[in-house]
Amino acid sequence: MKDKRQEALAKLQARGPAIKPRASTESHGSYEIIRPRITLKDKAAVYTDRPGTMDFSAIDRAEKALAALTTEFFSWMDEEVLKLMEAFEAITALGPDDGRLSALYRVAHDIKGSASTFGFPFASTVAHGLEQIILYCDQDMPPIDIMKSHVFAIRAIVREDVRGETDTTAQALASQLQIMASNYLAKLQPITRDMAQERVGRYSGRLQA
Amino acid sequence: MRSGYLTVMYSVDCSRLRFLIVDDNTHMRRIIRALLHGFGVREAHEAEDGAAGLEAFSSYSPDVVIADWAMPIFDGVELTRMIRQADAIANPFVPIIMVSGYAERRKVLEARDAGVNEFLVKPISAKVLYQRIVSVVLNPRPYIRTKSYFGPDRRRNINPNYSEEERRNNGIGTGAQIIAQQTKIDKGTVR
Repeated sequence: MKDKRQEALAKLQARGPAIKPRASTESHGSYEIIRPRITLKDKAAVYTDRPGTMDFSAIDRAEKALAALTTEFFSWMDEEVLKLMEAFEAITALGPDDGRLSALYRVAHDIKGSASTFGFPFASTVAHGLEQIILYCDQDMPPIDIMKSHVFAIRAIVREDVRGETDTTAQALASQLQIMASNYLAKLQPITRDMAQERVGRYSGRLQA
Repeated sequence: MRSGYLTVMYSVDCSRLRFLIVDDNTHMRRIIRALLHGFGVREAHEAEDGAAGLEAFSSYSPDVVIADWAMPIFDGVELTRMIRQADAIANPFVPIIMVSGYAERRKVLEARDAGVNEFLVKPISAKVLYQRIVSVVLNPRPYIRTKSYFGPDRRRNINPNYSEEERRNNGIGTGAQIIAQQTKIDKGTVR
């Protein structure tokens, strides 16, 4: 990872200084106010006689484009679930360590963000709980059983193709897991904000393990 | 509206803008691309991690960057800081819209302090993404450079209780008055 970072930076520096857009600068002692001469408003703003700035026909077209992808959402979620199972099984087979917990965290975080967009809001809710557990747990003794309940619940929600927010069974399952996660987290020794930030950075790939 | 003022109304022609999408999740990239095409965007380039995003940014010169937060090699916040380093890269003023699964206030503030223009919490929708694009195009904020920060002006709300020196107008007038003037200009209200 470190090599890739250095490689990317070296490649960029090798390009040399680039031509900067023109801007006016006002100096005020400890700070400067800089205004680019040409803005995107000059480039893309167009006069309209409609009230408001929203082009609802553009939004409508985009929603239709998104709707055309919904047939693929199931297989996309299925791929995410496979990654989740792999990451979890690595922990149960080889034991928890920083790398394996971080891999599971990243998949859970991805599912939290993407599942709602793909139409699986309950999978997103459960993935959020799993993400929080991994982030705040005692890393030497992570609660494997609670994590397993979350992982299997996400898999069940996707396998049963539970979309939207109306399925009462999925709703009950998500609520129960939320309570389970809250109870577990409440019993933990609180960690400082800096420690939590450091873990997020490490798990999301920014900091080195 | 006060009499004697004419409100000029603008919308955004997205076909004139080049976008760079930086996200390690293939499916999310595809969704964002589909939405952009729906808005009329013709040119959208993709990168699958922060390093590829940085490389694409310097070679492709996009008008708007849409970046995920959690990514390998460089995450979205690091990518933003690198773009805002005026010495290294092409256009340090490029608007950056961060799309993230993080909704916590401190994460939003961290992104803002790195120089992000707009923050969008997933799930992503056509309306919300369009609003963010409209915001960066029609309401451009000036950029501020201090010892520890370079990026868009971080104050965008009118605070009627603000009575200190106003940076954006050489200290003339109260903060609320000046911000109100600025807002009027940004919204295209002219005499």
